[in-house]
Amino acid sequence: MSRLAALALALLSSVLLAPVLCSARAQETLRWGADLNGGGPYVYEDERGELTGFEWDLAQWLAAGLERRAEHVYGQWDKLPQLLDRGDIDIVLNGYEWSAEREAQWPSSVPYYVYRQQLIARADDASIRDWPDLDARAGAAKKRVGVLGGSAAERYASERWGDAIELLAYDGVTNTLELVRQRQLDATVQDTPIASHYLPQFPELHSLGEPQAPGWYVIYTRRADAPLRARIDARIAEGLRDGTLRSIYARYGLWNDEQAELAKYEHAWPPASAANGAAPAPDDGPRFWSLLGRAALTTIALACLSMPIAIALGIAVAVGRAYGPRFVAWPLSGYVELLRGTPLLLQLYVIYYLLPAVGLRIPEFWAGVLGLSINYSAYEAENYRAGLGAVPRGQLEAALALGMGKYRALRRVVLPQALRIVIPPVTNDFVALFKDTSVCSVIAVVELTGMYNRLYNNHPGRVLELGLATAVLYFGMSYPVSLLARRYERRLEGQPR
Amino acid sequence: MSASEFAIEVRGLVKRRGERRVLDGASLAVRRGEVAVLIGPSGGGKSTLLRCINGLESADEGEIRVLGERVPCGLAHDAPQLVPLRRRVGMVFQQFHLFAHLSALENVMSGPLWVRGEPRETAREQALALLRRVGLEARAGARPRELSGGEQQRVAIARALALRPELLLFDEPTSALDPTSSREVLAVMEELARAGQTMLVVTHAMEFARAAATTLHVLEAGRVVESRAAL
Repeated sequence: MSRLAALALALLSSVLLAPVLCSARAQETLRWGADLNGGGPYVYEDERGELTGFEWDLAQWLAAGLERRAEHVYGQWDKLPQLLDRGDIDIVLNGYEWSAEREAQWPSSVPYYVYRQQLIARADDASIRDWPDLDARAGAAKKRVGVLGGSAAERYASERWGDAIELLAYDGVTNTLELVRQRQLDATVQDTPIASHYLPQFPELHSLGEPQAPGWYVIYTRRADAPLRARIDARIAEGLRDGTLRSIYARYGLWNDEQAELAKYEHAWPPASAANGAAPAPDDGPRFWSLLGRAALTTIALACLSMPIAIALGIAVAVGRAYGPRFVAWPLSGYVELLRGTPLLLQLYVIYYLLPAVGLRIPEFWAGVLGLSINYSAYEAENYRAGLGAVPRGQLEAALALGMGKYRALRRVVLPQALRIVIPPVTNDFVALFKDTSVCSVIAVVELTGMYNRLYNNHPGRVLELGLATAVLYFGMSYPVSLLARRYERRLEGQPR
Repeated sequence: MSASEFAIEVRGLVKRRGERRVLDGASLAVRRGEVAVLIGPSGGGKSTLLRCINGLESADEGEIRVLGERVPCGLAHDAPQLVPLRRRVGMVFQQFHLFAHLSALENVMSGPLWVRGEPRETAREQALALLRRVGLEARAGARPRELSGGEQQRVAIARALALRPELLLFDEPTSALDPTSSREVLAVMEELARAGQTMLVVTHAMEFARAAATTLHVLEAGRVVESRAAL
């Protein structure tokens, strides 16, 4: 009996003490969120696979001053504030520029770095020598300018040039620079630290003009963490005074005189515009809807162009596999297995980034259509193969016995029945395709999810509204497909409509 | 006797399935104008013999001539060489095999339309006439699954007749039917026999053999053991 009581007591105390122990652990560490993908010079893996970067050093130094241990938590760059909300991290420290919209959600530390926007183009491109060269000229094609999706560069370029340039948003720095090198893009705009870190790897590219549009990198925190914020502010001020920040930045070739001005924000942060920026402009609602609506049209176009091609290819592949000679059937099996066995994302990368190397340059939208068509053709081929297999053998025999040739029998008798059998799985794939079009944002096609991400990055406070609107639009696109398919199925079955 | 006198000549036909010889030297001759009935115990190879005659199955050894044309051994069931002959030979299956996605009328039109390339209107009129002949004009718009077994088989016969075949093959046409449906189908077949249609009929329906057959062949264990004129 006493042993049981002791056990119960032990269990109870462990349950009661757990939160205390956990918070004690939280006291010991400073969990800082940062993305590693293409993260130079912020946080990245060096040649030995060890983490480095000026923010890595900054985090270690910051935590030491707070008498904590720095614990890096990996997160996708644009989702780091959400990790903050979830309580998975204590601070966001990852080249996050200050914005009034973000300030309203997650109060920021004083800035730790001043960045500017750098224009980068090919050294051999005489048509771009400075910023004004991006302006559209009468009779000349618009300049194609690549930026990081959701970055300050995207906002700057979009506000400064608007429709005068063709602005394309990508998810990585190196692939954007590579596209400029390959002449798929005319130029890119990047934060100065990125430009100075990556340009040496691209000797064909160079920086042009004076860096523009200064902005601040800040550390975002949870609103309730005011004491933590105050200590971080004090630590940054101390680092600016005693030269520690200068030595960290100098290590990565990032120090310049502009950084010395950071000290003036010690007692004047955040900027006054924060109060104005927090409240969204009254006309933003309709504007969101129109932007999302336009992006939804792109999604519809991608899906509605890709699916018929996928179906046609799929039928051809399925018939070839089921009824073609062996030398046709085997390569087709390989086609299906290869496409099913590799991610759509990778296939899009190959089409968009690797094909230009062999001289095949396909515009973003059509690269998306091609990638989706080819990828889905493998799934459709399997659907139709199953459909062909489900048509009773006697149907083909009866057609042959009537004197139809093999392919006429397939086209007139077997295929029409197979098509009907596979309407439900094909509809299912069509609905899935609507959602899979979002992958095309990696090749700068602005479809619905891409637009949601862009709007969310700029207006994080309206996540609920944006999320709901996006969900409604997706549902509005896919539900009619289901309804139409059901109608079509009934019609083929010859039942009353 | 010249070759053209025969609709079907089969000599020494062998068909193996694994170790088993389904056909073991079967021989058979059917003259033009004859109504030949092939009977025998189940599993004796009757259906296989019939399917070999129009190339749906390929024999391993032996010789087949249909309407004077040789049907070579070892051909795939969908070989293009078989197409011209099949346009002259109709086939009716035990399980009907009506095209499930087409109406009764469209089933009957399918041959003239898609095989012979006749104009739609002509094909339609002929098909309606044939449906009338098998007593199903009123069911022209029905899908196969809306028809009874007997109705389906009568549509299948009309479909085979639409190409005006010189020879009609029946593979146990009433085995899947109840007695009433069976009688309806047999009545149609007897009418065809009276009209002089050359037919080879695999069946257990002895009443048809008695009423319409001109010759009777008995197949047992893969061989035709008896061929005689019907009484």
